[in-house]
Amino acid sequence: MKAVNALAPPLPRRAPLKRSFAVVAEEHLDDVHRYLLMLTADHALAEDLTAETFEKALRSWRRYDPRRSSERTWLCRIGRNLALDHFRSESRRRRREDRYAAEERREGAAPELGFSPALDAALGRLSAGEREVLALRIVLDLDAEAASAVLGIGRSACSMRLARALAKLEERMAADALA
Amino acid sequence: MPSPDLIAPDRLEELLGGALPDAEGEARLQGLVRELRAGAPAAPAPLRVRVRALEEQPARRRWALPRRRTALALAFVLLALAAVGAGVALRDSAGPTASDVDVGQAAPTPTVPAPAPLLPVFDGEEESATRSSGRPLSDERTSLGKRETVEPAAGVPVPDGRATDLSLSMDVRLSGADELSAAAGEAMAITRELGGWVAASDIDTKGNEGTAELALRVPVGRVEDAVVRLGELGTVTGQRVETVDLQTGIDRRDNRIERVNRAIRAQQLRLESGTLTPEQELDARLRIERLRNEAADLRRANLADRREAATSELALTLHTRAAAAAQEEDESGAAGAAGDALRFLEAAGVVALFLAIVLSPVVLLVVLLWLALRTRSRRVEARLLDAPGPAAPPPA
Repeated sequence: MKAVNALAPPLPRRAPLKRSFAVVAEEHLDDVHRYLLMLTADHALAEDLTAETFEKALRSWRRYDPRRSSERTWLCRIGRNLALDHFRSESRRRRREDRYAAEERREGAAPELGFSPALDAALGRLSAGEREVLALRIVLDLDAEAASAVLGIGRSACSMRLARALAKLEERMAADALA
Repeated sequence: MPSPDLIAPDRLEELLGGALPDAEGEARLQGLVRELRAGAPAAPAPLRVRVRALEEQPARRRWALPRRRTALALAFVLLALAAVGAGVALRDSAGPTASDVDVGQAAPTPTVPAPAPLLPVFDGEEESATRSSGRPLSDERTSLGKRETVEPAAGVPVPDGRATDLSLSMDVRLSGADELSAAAGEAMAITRELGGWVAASDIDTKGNEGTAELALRVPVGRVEDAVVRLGELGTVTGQRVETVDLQTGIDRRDNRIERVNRAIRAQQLRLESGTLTPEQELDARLRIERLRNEAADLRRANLADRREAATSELALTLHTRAAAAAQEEDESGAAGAAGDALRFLEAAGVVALFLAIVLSPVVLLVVLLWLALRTRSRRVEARLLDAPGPAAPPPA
């Protein structure tokens, strides 16, 4: 029988152990890549951003505190910031081009995200924000708390955004099937 | 296929957690979720190689101070600054005030001659002259046990013709409670004899020890006599003179009264000329009334100052040896340390309050700026993420 000494002082809570960066990178590379691919809907860009994410993470690995967030959440947040920086610079570039030249329009080819063609097409017609929440909550299977931490919004807002994104995705797929 | 309704977030969480679907729409949704989870691609091999290679590169060593340490260092510097500020404030608060005059020191009021020492102080050194004079009378004690006899000497800076508010304080030590009571009575008698009066008295004796604090008003012409005779009651251990020149204010008011009188006379001449319209006449009478009131106020203020200057205030503290020693011990022992700590805290509080008052608008501004920037950044972010993906058809 296990004896319990009620008078014994409680053991101090220990911080989660910090693993080596190589192990973490190996474990979460797929997830970060999936997230960024869903967010950007662009294979080449997602690869570049993923590599950049891990480069940045390696540089700041010393400052990473496992008590504050999980490794995956931390990496996704870095990736998100890099993606947003990229979107910003792209937006500026497009504005410049709009001002001085005819706007370069992309053809409406569906991105190849690795799903079925119908799902890829429907995902391609969602906004980056909608694809992002699907990536975090469904593909990466993050819980509402972790996903909302990455997105920088409240838990209920995150759930609502997910519900809208799923409804829209379903709607698009239904519309494509009818067409 | 109909457009699906928005599923409730709570129900959605349950479905994501593996709950069984209740309706066809929910089953469809779960199918979609399964497809999304199953079909997500893995990272391509070249990317994996690229990421693995990152670790093999020599790490660039960048000098960076950890945020927490920076914040701690900053807090420490701020605390040190606050402590220095408090120290300065404490020193300033203990320093001499502009209107105080220590015995043996030059008078700060330029219009009043520097007062000479009233009486030789009991201490052999210049302690009473070097002690701060901003403290209350009880702080002006001198150390005991050097010279026992004191020859009182006159040296009160009685102003010659100028109206001056003269305040004196004296500490006199006596050998016992009986002598103290007798000396207090004698001091009151001397005051009355010199034409003054006792404004307040507080005599406290216990056993053979005690203190008596008397607030005496003595005609300014008899101050020297009073100081000499009160000094003879015992051993003078501390004294202080404080002078405030009232003459300047009186002269200024006199000049103003003259100008007001001239203005009244001018208005009266206007009235007597008989050339004024009824409105002008009324206006002139009102002005005369106002000027007369002003002149009366000025005269009253002058009278009050002259009355104040006619007598001097003499704060006499009589004490026995043990009472003085106890008080001194209070100031140097644990209670004294507590008092010092309290004074330091008070000064630190003043500095902190000052900093809070000065810095709060800046802090508020910074917070508002931060909030505005955060809101703007969120809006920009939302706009960027709301844009359709690269595969979306171009807008018409």
